[in-house]
Amino acid sequence: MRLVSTDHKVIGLQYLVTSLAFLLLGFVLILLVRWQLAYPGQPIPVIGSFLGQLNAPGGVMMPDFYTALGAMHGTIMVFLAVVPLAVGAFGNYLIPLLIGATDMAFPRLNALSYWLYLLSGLVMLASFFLPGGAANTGWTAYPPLSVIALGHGQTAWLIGMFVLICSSLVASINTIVTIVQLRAPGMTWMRLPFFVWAQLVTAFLLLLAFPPLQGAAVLQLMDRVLDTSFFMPTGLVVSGMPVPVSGGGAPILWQHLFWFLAHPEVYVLILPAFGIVAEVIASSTRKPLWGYRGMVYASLFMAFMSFLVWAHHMFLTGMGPTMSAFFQVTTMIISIPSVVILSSLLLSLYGGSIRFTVPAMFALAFLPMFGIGGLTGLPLGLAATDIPLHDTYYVIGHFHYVVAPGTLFAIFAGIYYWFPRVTGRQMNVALGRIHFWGSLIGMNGVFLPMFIQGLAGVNRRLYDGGRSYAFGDGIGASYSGQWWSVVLLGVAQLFFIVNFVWSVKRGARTGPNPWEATTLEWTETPNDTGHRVPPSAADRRPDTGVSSGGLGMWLLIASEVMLFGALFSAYALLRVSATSWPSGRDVLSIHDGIMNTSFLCFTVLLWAYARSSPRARRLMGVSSLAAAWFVIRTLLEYRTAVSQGLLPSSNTFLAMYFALTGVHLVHVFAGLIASLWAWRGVARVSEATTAGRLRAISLYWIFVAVVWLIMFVLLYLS
Amino acid sequence: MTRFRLICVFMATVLLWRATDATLLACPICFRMDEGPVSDGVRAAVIVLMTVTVAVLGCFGAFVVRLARTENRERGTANGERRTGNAERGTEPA
Repeated sequence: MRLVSTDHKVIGLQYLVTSLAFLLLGFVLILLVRWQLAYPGQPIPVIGSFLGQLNAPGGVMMPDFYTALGAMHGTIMVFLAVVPLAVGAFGNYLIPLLIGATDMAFPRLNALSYWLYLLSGLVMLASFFLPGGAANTGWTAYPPLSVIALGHGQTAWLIGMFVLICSSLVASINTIVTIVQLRAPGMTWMRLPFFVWAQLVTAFLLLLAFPPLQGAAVLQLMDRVLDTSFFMPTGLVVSGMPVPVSGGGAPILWQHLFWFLAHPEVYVLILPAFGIVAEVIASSTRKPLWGYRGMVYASLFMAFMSFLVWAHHMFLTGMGPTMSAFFQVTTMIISIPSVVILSSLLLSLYGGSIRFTVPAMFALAFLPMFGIGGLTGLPLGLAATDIPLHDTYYVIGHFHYVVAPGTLFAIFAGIYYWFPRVTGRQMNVALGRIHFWGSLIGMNGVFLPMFIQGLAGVNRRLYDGGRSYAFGDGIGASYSGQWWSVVLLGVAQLFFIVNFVWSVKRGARTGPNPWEATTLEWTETPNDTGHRVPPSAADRRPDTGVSSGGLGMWLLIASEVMLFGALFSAYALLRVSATSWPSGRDVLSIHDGIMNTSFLCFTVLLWAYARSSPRARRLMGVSSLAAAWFVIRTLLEYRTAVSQGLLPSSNTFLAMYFALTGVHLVHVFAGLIASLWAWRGVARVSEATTAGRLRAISLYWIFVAVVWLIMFVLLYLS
Repeated sequence: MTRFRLICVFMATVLLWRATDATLLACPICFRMDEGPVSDGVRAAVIVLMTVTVAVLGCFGAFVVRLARTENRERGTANGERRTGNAERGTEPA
C-alpha cells in the first residue's frame, strides 16, 4: 500500500489510522484533566515530570495548562478525531463500494483533503511546543479572551482550523458528486443504503456550515495579528488596563458565526453514526430497516432545520426575546426527525432474529445512549431552563452522551463490522466484548454524574472543579468516581488497540461475507486495493443532466456563497450596532472602485464569450490578463490606503474593507490560477474537457463578479 | 373544519397574540430591557445569514426536483426503448 495514493480505500484507511491516533491523544489529554479534577494540586503520576516545568512544575498541573488541555481535547475530539473517522474513514472507504462506483469522483482532490487534514492536525499539535503553549480559550474560542490570549497557540489553532475547513470542503464536494454522479445503473435514490444517505446529508452540512466559521477564523486571525476590532468592544478593560484597540466590535459576532457551524456540527457527528448503526442493525437482525423512507426524509429535514437553530446557544447573550422565541421553536422542531430515526432503528429490532455480535452490541447500546443525550438536550433548547444550566457540567454531560457513547459507539460498531471487509479477518470476539462492557460502564461512570453536578450548579472549566465555591461541598467524591471510570475506560481501549493490531495479521480468516449482509460492499474481494480508473469529470450523466466537474463547481460556489454570506452578516451586525459608521465615499476612492469593477466585468464577459468562440484560447489569455490587473490594482489600493494611515486597525469600517476585499482578492487570485491552468490545457486535452472547464470557470467568474458588485455597493457607495 | 370555525380559530389566535403581555414574551434575563444597537445588529446579522442559507438551500431543493424529473424522464425513455426492442424481437407481452 503506497503512502501517497488516490485510491479511495487507501485514503479511507489513512483517515482511519490518523483519526484513531488523534482519538487516543484526545483521550490522554482528558485523562490528565480528570486527574486534576479528582486530585487537585497533587502531582500527576508517571508522566507528570515529563510535562515540563512551565506546564506542570513538580508534576502538578498549572491552571493555564489545564485550560489548554480542555480546549485541545474538545478541538481534537470533535474536529480531528470523530468527524474524520465517521466521514473521512467510513465515507471514503465505503461510499464507492456501496453505490457500485469504481472510486470517488475526484481521486486527486480526495488525496488532497486527507493531506490537508493531516497538516491541520499537525499545526494544532505543534502549538503545544510554541511559546505560551497550545490554545487555552476553550474549543469554542470565544473572544475577547481568545483575541487577547498570550502566546501563539490560539493563532496556530485558527490557522489549523482554516486548513481543516479547506480539507472538509474539498471532501464534502467529492462525496456529494460521487453519490449523485457515480451511482451504478439501477441504484436509484430510494435503493441507496441508509449509510449513503447519511453521508450525503452530512456532506451537505459540512459544505454549507463550515464556511462561516472559516470567515470567522479569518476575522479573529485579523484581530490577533493586525489589531483589528471585529470582536473587541469599545472600552474593554483587562486587569485594570484598557486594551489598546480601536473598539467598535462585538464579541457576540463570534458566537453568531461559530454556532452557525457548531450546531450543524452536532448532526455531522450523529448522522454518519445513524448510518453505521442502521447498516449493522439491518445485518444483525436479518431483516430490512423499518421505515427506510421515513428515515431518509427525516435526515433531510433534520439537515434543513439544523441551519435554523444555531442561536439557541446564545440565549444568555441578551439577543432579545423575539430571536429567542424563534430559535426555541425551531429547536423543538428539530428534535422530531431525531426521534423518527431513533424510533425507526428501535422498531427495526422488532421481529428480528438478532445476533448479538460485537458490532451489534455496540449498535444496540448506541440507541439508549443517544436517547439520553438527545432527551437531556431538550431543556437546553428552551431559554428559561437553559439559563441556570448554561455553562454547567449538565451541558458537558448532554453533549458527551450524544458524541461519546453515541457516535463513538457507532464508530466502534462500524470498525468491528467492516474489519473483515478490509482485512479478510475478524477481530477477536472475547476481547471485543471486554472492550464493549468496559466502554459502556466507563463512559456512563464518567458522564452520568455530570448531570447531577450540573444541576447542582457546578460550572465547567474550573481548575479545582468548583471546590472553592459553596456548591463544591462534597463534590470531590464524584470526581474521584469519575477518575476511576476514566481509568476503566482507558483500560477497555487498550483491549481494543491490542485486538485491532493483533487481528490485522493474526485474526481468524473469514469468508467474503461473514455477516451475510445484503449490501454491495460484501460482493467484492477483500484486500482489493487495486486502483481503477474513475469516469472523466467532463462526462455528463444522462439522468442528472450535469457533468461531475460542473456539479463540483456549483457546490464550490454554494459553499463560497455561505462564506461571503457570513462576512456580509458580520458587516450587518457591526454596521447596525455601530454608533458611527463612516461613509465609504469619504474614505475610499470611488474611481479605483469603478476601475476595478470594470476590469472584473471585462474578465467575466471575455470568459463567457470564450465559451462559444473559435478563438477561445486567445480570449482566455486576455481575460486572465484583466484578472491579473485587478489583483495588481487592489494591491496598489491597499498600499495607498496604508500610506495615508488608513489601517485595518483604525476602525471597524476599514477592518471590514480589508477583510472583505482581501477574501475576495484571494478568490480572484484562485480564479486567475484556474484560468491559466485551463488556458494552458487547451491544446492538450479534448474539446469536451476544454468546454467543461470553460463552463465551470466562467460560472466561477460570474460568482466572483456578483460578490464584488455587492461589496462595491456596501463599501464604496454607502 | 367549517369556514366559521376556521375564522373563529384565526380570530382567537390573533386576539391571544395581541393580548399577550410583553413580559410574557420577554427574555428571562433582561425582561426586554436590552433593546439597543447590539440587539438590532444581531437581529440584522441573523436575518442576513438566514436569508442566504435559505436561498442556498432553496437552490439545492430546486436541483433535487430537477434531478428527480430528469431521472423519471430518463427512466421513461429507457422503458420506452426497452418496450420497442421487445416488440421488435417479438417478446412484448400482450
